[in-house]
Amino acid sequence: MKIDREELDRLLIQTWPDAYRIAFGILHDRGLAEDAAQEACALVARKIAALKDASAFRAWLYRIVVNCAISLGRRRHPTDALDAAGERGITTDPAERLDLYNALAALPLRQRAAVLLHYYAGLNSAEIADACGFPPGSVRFQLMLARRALRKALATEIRAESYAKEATHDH
Amino acid sequence: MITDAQIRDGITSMLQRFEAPAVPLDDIYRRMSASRITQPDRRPFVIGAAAAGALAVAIALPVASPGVVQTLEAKIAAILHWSPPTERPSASVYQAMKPQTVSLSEARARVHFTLVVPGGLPADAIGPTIQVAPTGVFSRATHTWSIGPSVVMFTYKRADGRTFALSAAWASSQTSPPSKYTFEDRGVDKAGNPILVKHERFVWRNGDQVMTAIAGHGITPAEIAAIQSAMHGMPMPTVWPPRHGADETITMIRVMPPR
Repeated sequence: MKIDREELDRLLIQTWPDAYRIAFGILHDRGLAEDAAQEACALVARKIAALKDASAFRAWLYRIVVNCAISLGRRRHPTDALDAAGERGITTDPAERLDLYNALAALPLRQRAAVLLHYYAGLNSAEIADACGFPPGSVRFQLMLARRALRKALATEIRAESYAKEATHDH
Repeated sequence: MITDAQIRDGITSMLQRFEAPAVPLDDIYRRMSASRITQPDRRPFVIGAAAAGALAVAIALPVASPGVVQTLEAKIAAILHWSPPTERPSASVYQAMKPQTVSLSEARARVHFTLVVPGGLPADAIGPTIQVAPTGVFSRATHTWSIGPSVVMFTYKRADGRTFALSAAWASSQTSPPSKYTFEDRGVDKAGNPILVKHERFVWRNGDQVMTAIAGHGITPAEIAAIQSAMHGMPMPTVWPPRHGADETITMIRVMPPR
């Protein structure tokens, strides 16, 4: 994909928020997420010329972001200690999506990455396995475990939302 | 029953609520041109910092032939206005530098200076976790590493998940001015070039203690100034580039995030 500097600027501006959000979804730390997203964008800028199919861009970008975030997460927390309680509960709107956020934060790093690639980036388990270097069977298993935790969290949220709506109607 | 589509919507809507900072185009292009590829690295990271009086910079060089090391050294020296240690610490020195988590009273018992605990911290700082870390000291005269005096690291967590650390060391009477910058050693890239991150340091003295804070590691220069002021610390002038001398020593602190 041939691209000049101005186009690259535009692409990075469009790409950045998604890259940051995915990195934050995995790392749950603003500083680390920014670092991972910067690294991913630098890789995108460096390798974009080698990308043959423009329609594959989004999936390609997500893979790079996830890999950068996993690398950084493992280096920063050698034993994957990202689940420390002090690093949870960061959200721009604590009243919403908190259960889902905490459920995601409680997942191990690899599960978190698989969840984001599957549900946010739309990759199937074979593509996730290819992107992250995990065995496909392991990806399916990780997704199944993650799904259980997230369903429970989401059910709690939906219940809380419906109670809130009922309370509003009562007033 | 919660469906896959609901999970997808929940995650998408959650991620879209995270506010992304402004696009750091300059930083991205700088990384791009530096061709630095962050590799998974399970080692704890190491930063250089000042034990009392040492010129406070430290990095590790990649394992390479002497010729390659010379070339790298020249490149690094040209960029950093400073030349790094020519040897890596030996495995035994590196192992001895491993920090240990201790209580305040244990920390006090293990150092030879009067430990002054940080005050005036940001309101959201939680902690500290206290660690005692023996330093690694490289001598330019002998090209050898040895174990130096221990430093005490106070590590705090902030509400947004970032952490910052303040290190306390002994203010030796035979000191040269501390350096203005320190380098975080992030290992090497695919090509074997060292990945170094430069950080500005702020240094102040309380009695026979020298306290160091690194800006950008979860704390801003203004917040560091507030801590220094609350501690009634005497600011120490820093220098850059450091003066190279045969008697120069370089101090390395091994940093492991507290669990």
